[in-house]
Amino acid sequence: MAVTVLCGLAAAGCGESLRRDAPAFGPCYPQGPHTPRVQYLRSFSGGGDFRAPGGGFWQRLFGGSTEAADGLVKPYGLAAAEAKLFVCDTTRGDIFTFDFAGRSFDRWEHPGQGLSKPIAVRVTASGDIQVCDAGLGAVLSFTAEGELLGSVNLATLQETTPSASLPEALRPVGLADGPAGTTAVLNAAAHRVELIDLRTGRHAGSWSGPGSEEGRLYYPTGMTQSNDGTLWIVDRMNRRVLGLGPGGQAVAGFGDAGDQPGYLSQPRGVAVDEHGVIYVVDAGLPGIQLFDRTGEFLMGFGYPQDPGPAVTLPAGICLDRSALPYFADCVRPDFEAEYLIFVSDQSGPDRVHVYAFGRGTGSPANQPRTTVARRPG
Amino acid sequence: MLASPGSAELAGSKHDFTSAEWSGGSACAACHVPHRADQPKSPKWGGPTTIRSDPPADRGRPGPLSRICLSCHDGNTARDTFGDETGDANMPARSRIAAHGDLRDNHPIGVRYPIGERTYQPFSRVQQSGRIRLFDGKVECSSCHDPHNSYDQPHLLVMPNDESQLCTSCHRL
Repeated sequence: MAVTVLCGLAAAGCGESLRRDAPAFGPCYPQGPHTPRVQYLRSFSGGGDFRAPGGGFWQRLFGGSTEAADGLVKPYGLAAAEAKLFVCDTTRGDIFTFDFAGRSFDRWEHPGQGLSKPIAVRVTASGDIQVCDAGLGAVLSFTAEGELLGSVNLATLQETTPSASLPEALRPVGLADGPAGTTAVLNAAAHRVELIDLRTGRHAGSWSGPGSEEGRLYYPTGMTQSNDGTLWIVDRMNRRVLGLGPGGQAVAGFGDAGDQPGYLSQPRGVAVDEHGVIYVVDAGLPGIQLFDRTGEFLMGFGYPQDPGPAVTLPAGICLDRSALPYFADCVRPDFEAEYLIFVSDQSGPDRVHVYAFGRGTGSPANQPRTTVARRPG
Repeated sequence: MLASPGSAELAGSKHDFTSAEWSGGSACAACHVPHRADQPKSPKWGGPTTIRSDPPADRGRPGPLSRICLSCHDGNTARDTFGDETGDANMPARSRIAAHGDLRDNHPIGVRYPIGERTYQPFSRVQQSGRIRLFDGKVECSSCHDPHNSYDQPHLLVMPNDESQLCTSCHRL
């Protein structure tokens, strides 16, 4: 599906705020002679990246609070909905938002309930914001406006089934839909998935557990869910990706430890698109790698020798269509973008990198090697 | 007298994962992955089959060895550390590393050792310690910590720091 380029007030895009002398478009991956499937769009860290030169009217439109303009420090999990990106910052101890429609960067307001070390965030189908806070050891639910709906921690978990055993520790690091109205919470401290009713604190059971056998986990770091309900979990220490079916049974698993493309070194975040393409963020290679559900290696990008930004210490990832129109002027004319890929990076010049997934329509052999300046001056 | 390297062991240290259920007895797998240059995987959609195994650390970015540390010590897998900028970020003058057990109040990494600045020891003196290593001329996690526990020091340090002697090996007060 071709992206319609917006006219007029697209000043949050690539044309003004970041680049002065650099070429217009970011590089594509894989490079020639292969058909491009991913294009690098831009990178940013905070509100200053969205200010148009000259200040004045544009300054007022783009800015957030003075404090928030300092930018992200150590981002981890991300989620996007309605052209707004929510980013967990584990050092600043809060969630920050990039509102691409409203052109602002701000600390997400959630009065009455502070956060400590948010690791993961999710926007539910009903629009609620769910947060995994590893510092609080809690899963918190908010309305889209930031009103606290409830929180669950180890102390408030209630066991209701004879076969369900409560975890001895809770360090939530991932969220997905569980069965029968529960939320699947990835518990890194117990190496398993807890099934919790976030409204009542009822613990309905758990899936997987510590170990290296098929279907087991050890220090899982991220979780996502495909549209068939399969949970995809990054099993960090086993250097695998585990797929759990609707009943918690292992339905897929792949990954081999290694330091080259297609292998897993220090995997962290994970995302899956509607085609079943699984993205794994790897801080060891470093890079972002795509696999199908059988584990076949499709491609990778963000590697050290790739043109464009080499990710430094990537952590989280999310996929989004809602904000795509606001990046339309960053997409190459010969690239049909389908959705955006947001990747958080805990080091390097920028904290969030944005790419587009799609398909190149031009001659891949003629792709220029491009670099994009990230900050004016 | 400083203990000689090798007199302490990884076994029994906080980085000893040999008894972990997942490791299969491996002492190395937690941090190190096999080198696979001779077993490339061909990406179905194309792209590189090899990458540089040891890319140089750029200004302000942690090097490849520090990335191994930081990818675990992030508050998700292991205790969080290094919560601030790399590169030119400097500790406030009265900071204590890991004050109150919070490892986020930490030392910059990925910074080049400031040779010639009067508030730092001459680099030749740093080298004389035989313990503090620089990586491509930069301070990294392994400058002060030995993840293999070669020196049997608290916090896997490369030398004792009871009277700040680790700090003053580089910093001139």
